[in-house]
Amino acid sequence: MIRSEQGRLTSRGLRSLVETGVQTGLGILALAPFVVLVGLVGYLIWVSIPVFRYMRWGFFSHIAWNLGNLYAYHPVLVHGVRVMPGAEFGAFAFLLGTGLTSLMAICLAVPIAFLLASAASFGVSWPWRNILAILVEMMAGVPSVVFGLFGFIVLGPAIATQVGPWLNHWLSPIPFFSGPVTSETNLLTATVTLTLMVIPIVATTTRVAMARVPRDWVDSARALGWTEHEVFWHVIWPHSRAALTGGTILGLGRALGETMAVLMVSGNALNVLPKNIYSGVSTMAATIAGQLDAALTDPTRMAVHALGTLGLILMAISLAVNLIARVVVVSDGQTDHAGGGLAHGIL
Amino acid sequence: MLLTLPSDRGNGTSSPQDDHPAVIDVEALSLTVGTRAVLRQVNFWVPANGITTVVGPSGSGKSSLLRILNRMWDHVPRVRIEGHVRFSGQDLYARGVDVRAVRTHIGMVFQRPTPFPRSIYDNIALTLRVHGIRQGISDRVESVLSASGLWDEVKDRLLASALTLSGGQQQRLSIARALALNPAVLLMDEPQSALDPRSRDQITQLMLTLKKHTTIVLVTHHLDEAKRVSDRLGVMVGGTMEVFGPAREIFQSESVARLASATQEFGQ
Repeated sequence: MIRSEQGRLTSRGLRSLVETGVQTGLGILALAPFVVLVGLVGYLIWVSIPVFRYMRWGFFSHIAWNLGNLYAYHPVLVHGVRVMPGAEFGAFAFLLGTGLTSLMAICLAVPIAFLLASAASFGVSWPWRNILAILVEMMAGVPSVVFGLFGFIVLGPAIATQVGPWLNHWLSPIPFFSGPVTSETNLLTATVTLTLMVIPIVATTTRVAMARVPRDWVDSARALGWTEHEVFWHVIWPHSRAALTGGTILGLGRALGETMAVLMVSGNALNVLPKNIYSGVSTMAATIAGQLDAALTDPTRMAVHALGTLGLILMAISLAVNLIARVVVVSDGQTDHAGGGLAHGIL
Repeated sequence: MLLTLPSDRGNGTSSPQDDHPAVIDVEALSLTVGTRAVLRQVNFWVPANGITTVVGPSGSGKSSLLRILNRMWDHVPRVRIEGHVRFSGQDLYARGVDVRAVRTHIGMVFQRPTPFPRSIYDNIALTLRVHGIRQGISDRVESVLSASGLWDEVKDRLLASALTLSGGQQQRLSIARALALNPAVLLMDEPQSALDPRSRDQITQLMLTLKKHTTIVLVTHHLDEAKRVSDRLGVMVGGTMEVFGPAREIFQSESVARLASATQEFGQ
C-alpha cells in the first residue's frame, strides 16, 4: 500500500517536472520575437547614431547621396565622426521615391482589387468566380523577382513606347504627367509593377471577407426583393469594408518594403528628384540592396551606417503603417464583425 | 414587370378539390440539384389568408419546396425545376417574370433570425428605401413593428443595433421587415426552431394574428406547432407530398401520427 502511494507520488513529481520544463521552454520561445525585434531596432538605432551626428536633420532633407572621395589619404573628422571627404548622405529622394511608388501603386491597385474581389465573390457566375479567386491567389504567390523581370522586359518597353507617350499626349496639361519618356525604367514602370504585386493581396483579403458574409443575410436580402446589386451594396460591402482597409494597408506594407522588383524597374536614380512619372527614381529598400556593394568600399563604414539608417526609417514607417491599420480596422470592426474580424486577424 | 399584384390578391386559380381560391398553386413540381432529385411530382395549393403548413422529416424537401415559391433557387448553380408554380394564376417561372416583384409579393422568414447589423429602425427603413419608398417610412416602421408585436419593446431604442435584441425579438424583427413590403404571402421556414420556448410561443401567436390578413406558408418539423396553427397541412416524405388537405381532417385521420412514428417524430 505504502509502496503504491510512493509510486504515485514519484510519477506525479516527474510529470510536474516535465510540465514545468515545457512551460519554461515555451516561455523562453515566446520571448524570441521580442528579443529579435528589440535586437534589430537596437542595432539599427546604434548604426544610425553616427549618421545623425554627421548629417543632423539634413539626412531627411538632403537629396545628394555621395560616399565622398574614397581615394583620399585620410578620413576627415566632422562632428566627432570619421567620414571620407565630401561624403553626404541625404535620404529625401529615397523617401520621396518610396512614398510616390507605394502610394501611386495603392491608388491604382485598390480599385482594381475591389472590382476583382467583387467579381470573384458575387459578380460572375459559378464556376468562373472560383477560377478567378484561384488565379488571384496564385498571383500573390509569384516571386517578386519574376514581377521585376516582367516589369523590365515587358512593361518597361511598353511604357516607354506606348503608354508613356499616350499619357504624355493626353495628360500633359497636368504637370507631373508631362515630359519626354526617355527611359524604360522609371517611376511609372515601378508603380505599375508594384500595382501588379499589391492587387492580389488587397483582392484576396477583400474576397475572403466578402465570401464570409453569412449566407442567411444574403438570402434574406434577396428574399426582400433586393437585386444582386442592392444586396452587394447594402449587405456584402458594409461587411467587407474593413477587410478592404486591412488589405490596402497590407498592400502598402508590401509596396513600401518591396526591394528586388523596384530595383529592377525604377531606374535607380541617385541625387535627383523625379520631375514627372517618366523620371527614374529609387526607393529606400531598393537603395539598401543596390548600394550595399559600393558602401562596403567606404573604409569609415559610414556608408553602411547610412544604409542602416534607411533601414531604420523603413522599419519605422512599416511599423507605423501597421499600427494605423490596426487602429482603423479595430474602430471599423466594432460595427462590422465579419470584415473587421477578418482584417484584424490578418493584421 | 409581369406580376400585377396585390390588387388581384387571392383571385387566382381555384383548386379542383376546393372552392377556396388558391393564391399559390403548385402542379407536378420536380426539383433536381446536380444529379439529386430533391422534389418529385409535388402537387399542392395555398388558399388565401390562412396558414398552410408543410411538415416532414429533415431532408424531406419541405424547405426546398418553400424556396421554390419565391425563386430562391435562382442563385444556385445546376438546378433544374420542372412543373408549374402559379401565384394568383401567373406562372412564377414563366419567361420575363420579374424576380424582384415575385419576392416583393412573396416574403420570406428564415430559420435563424437574420437582422442586418444596423439599427432596428434601419432594418425596416432600408428595406423600404431600397424599393424606392421615401414617404411615410417612420409610420410604416411603427406599423410593422406593432404588427409583429415588437413596438412596445423597442419603441424607446429604435436606433440601437438590431443585434442587441434577443433571439426571439430578432426573429420578430425579421418578420416585421418582411411585412414592411406588404407581401401577399409570407413563407416561413421553421421560424421557431432556433428559439427558446417562450419566443416560440410568441411567434406562434404572431402567426395566428397575421393569418387574418396574410397568407402564410409554414414549414416545420414540430407536429404540435403545426397542429396549433395550421389550416391546411401537407406531409412531405422523401421529396413527395404524401398527404395534403385540411389540417383538422389529416390530424383526425391519424395519417400524420402514422407518418410521425414511421419517421421518429420528424426528428432532426
